[in-house]
Amino acid sequence: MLDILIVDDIETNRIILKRLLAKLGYHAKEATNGQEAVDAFRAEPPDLIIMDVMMPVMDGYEATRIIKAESEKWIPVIFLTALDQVEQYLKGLEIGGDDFISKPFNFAILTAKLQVFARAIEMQKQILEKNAALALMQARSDHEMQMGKYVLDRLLERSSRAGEMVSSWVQPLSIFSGDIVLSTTSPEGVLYTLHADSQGHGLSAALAIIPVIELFYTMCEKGFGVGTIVKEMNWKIRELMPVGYFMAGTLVSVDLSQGLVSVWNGGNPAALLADNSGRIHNVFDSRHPPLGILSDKEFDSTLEFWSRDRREDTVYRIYLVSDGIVDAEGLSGYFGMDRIVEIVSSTDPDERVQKIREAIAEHCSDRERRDDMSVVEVTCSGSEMLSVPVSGTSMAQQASSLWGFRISISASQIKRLDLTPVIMGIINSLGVDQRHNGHIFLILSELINNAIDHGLLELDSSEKQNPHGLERYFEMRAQRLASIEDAKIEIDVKSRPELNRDRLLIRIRDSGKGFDHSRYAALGENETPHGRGIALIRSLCSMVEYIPPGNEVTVAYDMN
Amino acid sequence: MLKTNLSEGSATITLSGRFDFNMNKAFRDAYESLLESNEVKTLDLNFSKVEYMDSSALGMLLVLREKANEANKQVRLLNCKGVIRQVLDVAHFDRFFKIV
Repeated sequence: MLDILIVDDIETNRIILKRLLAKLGYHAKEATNGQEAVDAFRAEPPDLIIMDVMMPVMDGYEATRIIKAESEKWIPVIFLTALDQVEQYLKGLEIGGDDFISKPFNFAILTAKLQVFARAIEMQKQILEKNAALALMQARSDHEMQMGKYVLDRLLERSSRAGEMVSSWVQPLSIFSGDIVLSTTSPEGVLYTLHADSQGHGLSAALAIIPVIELFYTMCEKGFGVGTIVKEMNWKIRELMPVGYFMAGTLVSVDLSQGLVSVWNGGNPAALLADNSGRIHNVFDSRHPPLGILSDKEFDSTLEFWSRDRREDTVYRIYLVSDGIVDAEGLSGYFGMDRIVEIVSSTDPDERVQKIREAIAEHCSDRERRDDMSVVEVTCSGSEMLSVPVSGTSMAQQASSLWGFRISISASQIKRLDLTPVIMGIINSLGVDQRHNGHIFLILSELINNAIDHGLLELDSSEKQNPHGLERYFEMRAQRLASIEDAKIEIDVKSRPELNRDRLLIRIRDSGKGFDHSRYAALGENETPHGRGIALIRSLCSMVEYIPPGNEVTVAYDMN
Repeated sequence: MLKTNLSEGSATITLSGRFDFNMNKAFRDAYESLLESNEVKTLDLNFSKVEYMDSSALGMLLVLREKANEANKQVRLLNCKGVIRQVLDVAHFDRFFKIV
């Protein structure tokens, strides 16, 4: 029911109006002049006011002006004007009045007008209620966002571990950024940097980033290679997120001791590698679809490599930009990759990131931005790099002396995987001379089998010499393999350049109690049909060293 | 924004303007009935009038691909030029679609 304030100094008018309003079902209050109207409004704002113009103490215009100025909600004011007083009517509207009705009243018209206002007031009420609800929701959502941002910021903060080698600038479109930059180092001092661009922006983009952050730190800090890490990320994202979601990502590792840069770029703009003079030595284009689209089987973890000469001590920097920058629209069109190249080539090395920021700000000026933007600079200094940009497979061969990887395999993989070809596959993709494949495979396979059979499963090879011994041996092997739980094998393969040759160092360590290798080695020398593994390894390798209690062995294989 | 054409077992959806998340519903509405149709064997998306596409558009394409695979239909992307082609190339979408 509407509350209506009738303001008129003539009592008859008030009585007539009050009766009409009562008949229409409205509740009416009265005031006899403008001042009383203002007082009544201040005491309790009505929903609508019917206001006479000419009154003692304060006229209707002044009262309306005050009420309109003070009221927080819209209170329609209908002026009562004498017939043919067009000026009065216009002045009323100017002052903030909403309508007029001329005296003497035409009841039909007044009734119709009141009904129109009643509808408008009802609508206003609904809008106010909805606004209040929205504001509440907004406040709640803001709070949630702030909490989420806090968590995400803490997660991202760990990046500082990589120190001054990596600097970045990220400009999110909303409170959350879909662009992230993570960096850390492996136990061997390899620097990893991930530049990821989660599809879309805002909360959902940020949400998908969380598992990637965890994976990144865990795997990098354990020393996994770039290929393995991106493969795992791809799998994780695909598993967690719906079809149609993906994350563009570039993972870069810089191994300063080896002078080797490895890059996997899926869906991000090209990464540039430049020296301090601005010369661009290599461009790492996107070679793969973004993460989260391909199945594990389809996924291609082929990397691009670039190496530097150890004799030279030039500082190199790698630049990674997100598509939010390349595709940023300005008056002159898209910002473009060429512009990045131009800035990197022509700017003092310490000012490149800043220069890109300035250029993008100028380019976009006050245009609406549509995506998160980020720039990353990874500095490779301290050692020596050669200007031999080689990419793809040819690089893999040339870099044959410059890599290393470590894999830790737990029981479930040991049961499921045929380890030797898996490890061999990695060695091959990193690059060794094909002619050595056979020997390397044999060495690996003997070492891995020893670690599993004698180290983890504690099987005795002499069993094989008994009648039906071989069968029994394999039965036992299968039984024990199925029941192991906490076992672990660590395989560490390093390719180290030596004078005139490349040396492959393979270290294998199992979580078993250790076994008596000398016994097996002796068996080998006696030309018995079994247990020849260690003797074989000794004949192929330039060095074989068992570390007590016998659960760890390091061998060196020389590739002449 | 979207126009659909049917002829001889292939349907063409012509997109225009900005292909981003704002087009999600219209885009889905446009292809869903076509995927249900037995007459349609190939679904062509004509990009000749698209000015811009973002990563959410790429996501929408992947969703379409998934649904088209289930319905045993082929999706082709036609007239991808300039910046549209670049976006598709960087994401290596030629692995998922025939890009003509």
